[in-house]
Amino acid sequence: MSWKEAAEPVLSRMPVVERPAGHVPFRRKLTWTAGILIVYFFLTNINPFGLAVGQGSDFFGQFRSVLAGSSGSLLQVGIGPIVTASIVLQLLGGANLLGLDTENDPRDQVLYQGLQKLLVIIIAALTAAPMVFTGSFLPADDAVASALGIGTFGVQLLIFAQIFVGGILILFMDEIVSKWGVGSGVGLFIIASVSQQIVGGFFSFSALGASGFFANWYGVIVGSVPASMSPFTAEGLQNLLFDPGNILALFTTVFIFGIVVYAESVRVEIPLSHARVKGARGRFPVKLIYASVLPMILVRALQANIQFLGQILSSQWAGMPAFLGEYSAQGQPISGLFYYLNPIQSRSQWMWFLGEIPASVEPWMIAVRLGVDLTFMIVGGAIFAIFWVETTGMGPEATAKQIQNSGMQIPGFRRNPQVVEKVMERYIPQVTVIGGALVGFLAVMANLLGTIGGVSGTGLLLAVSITYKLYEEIAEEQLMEMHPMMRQMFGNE
Amino acid sequence: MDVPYDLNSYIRVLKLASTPSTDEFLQVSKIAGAGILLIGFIGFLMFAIMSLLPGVGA
Repeated sequence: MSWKEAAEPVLSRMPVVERPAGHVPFRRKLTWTAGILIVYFFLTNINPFGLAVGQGSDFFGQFRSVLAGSSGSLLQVGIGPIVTASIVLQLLGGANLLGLDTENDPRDQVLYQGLQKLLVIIIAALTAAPMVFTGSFLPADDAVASALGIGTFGVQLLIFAQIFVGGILILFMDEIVSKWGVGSGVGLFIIASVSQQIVGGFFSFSALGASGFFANWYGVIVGSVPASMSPFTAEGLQNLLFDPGNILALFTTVFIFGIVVYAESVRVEIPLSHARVKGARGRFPVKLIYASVLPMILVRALQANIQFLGQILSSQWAGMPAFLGEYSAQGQPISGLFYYLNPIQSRSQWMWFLGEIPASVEPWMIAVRLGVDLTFMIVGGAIFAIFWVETTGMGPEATAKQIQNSGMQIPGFRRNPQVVEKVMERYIPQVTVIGGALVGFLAVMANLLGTIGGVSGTGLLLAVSITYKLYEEIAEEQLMEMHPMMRQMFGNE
Repeated sequence: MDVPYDLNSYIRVLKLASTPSTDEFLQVSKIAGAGILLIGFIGFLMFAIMSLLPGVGA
């Protein structure tokens, strides 16, 4: 109990976004959400002052589509700190090391939220610092340094401050969306970043830096892109399937989309009837992807953090032993422990016959790496899904209470929360574990194929699922707005 | 929440699962696709405008 008393003065005084006092009208919720979305896009397009633009490399690399944000912008760190803080707390809470009763004790809830915020701020600083001060991820502009007369270190400090503030901004934007808007901010930022990349991958043109799918095909048809597209020669087939034709990426984008939509709608339905209104029947759907896909972000972020550690080690420690990791000139691990722990992010990282992987990498090394990735994602997906269901009130006990409050009951059982909970316990844990493992498996498979716009398959999977969930929440909000009685039906006390 | 270690209970739950009908599948695809395109276009437009304007963005 001791750390609680010691930390309470700090944790309970963390700045918070005020909770709405009453019911927020649906239109206003949508306005808040759209407003934050615009601010998010705006910030991703602003470069920090003093940065040598276009010379750095992305510290997050291929993890970018899962962690949102944009490289070389104010939102460099993206949702990384929020997600990492959440991992730490979920692991501590899941192992019951915090000693906080977040379900029943309001004081402990305040402490938990304060602790989470403090952690995010610390991690934002810890992530921003190595990006700015080590290596070449965010190089300082020498011209700015000499013009201001503060030296390179001074400019680096400036960049660090701006990126750190960007991380804090994301934290509060997330809080605004969760309290005043629809859905969660973290989810919104992931959809935003992934959809922008996909749309860019289709419609971008050369004036914006890279040619998209349509611009490429236009060029091929007009003849300004000299590429043979004949499916009958080896070279033509390669052009057609990969760059610049990208038919394979188009196919896999649609394919992953279809699989996720299908998996999203698989569910176990528990029949319900109303306790007093005869003939009023309903079903309580337990979705197969029950815990949604947010736990997947946690697993991917865990992998990302391991890779950052490797990046920092290799740039700072000249005598790093080879079994830990060897890095290519582009900062990618090519052998050693960090190579095997690095998830496969795109088809160019495993299709050895394309000749795009470093010569020292053998096919068996790719197989080991894939095996590690699969194990990590399937086991990790299941474990984090369980933690997630427990901490977000979707477990058997909470669900039973919700059904009870809505006045429904399971036909053939007594109308009693304990009884409903017993029934739920026969379904929810199994569905959670299967769903978590399945999403992990899908995420690895999706990454192997690659998509339009260079989004990782996991990113696309997250975007599809979160977008649909957001739609469901909007629809539910609108329903309640039109029929206030529904609010009681949904069990909101 | 107790996680069961009995494999049969997982198979039982999987057998109870219902799969979407074609209509439902198409509806979910339309909604998710439209949402991604809508948000993506907002982002893409803002990116295009801010990178083509002189003095802003990369």
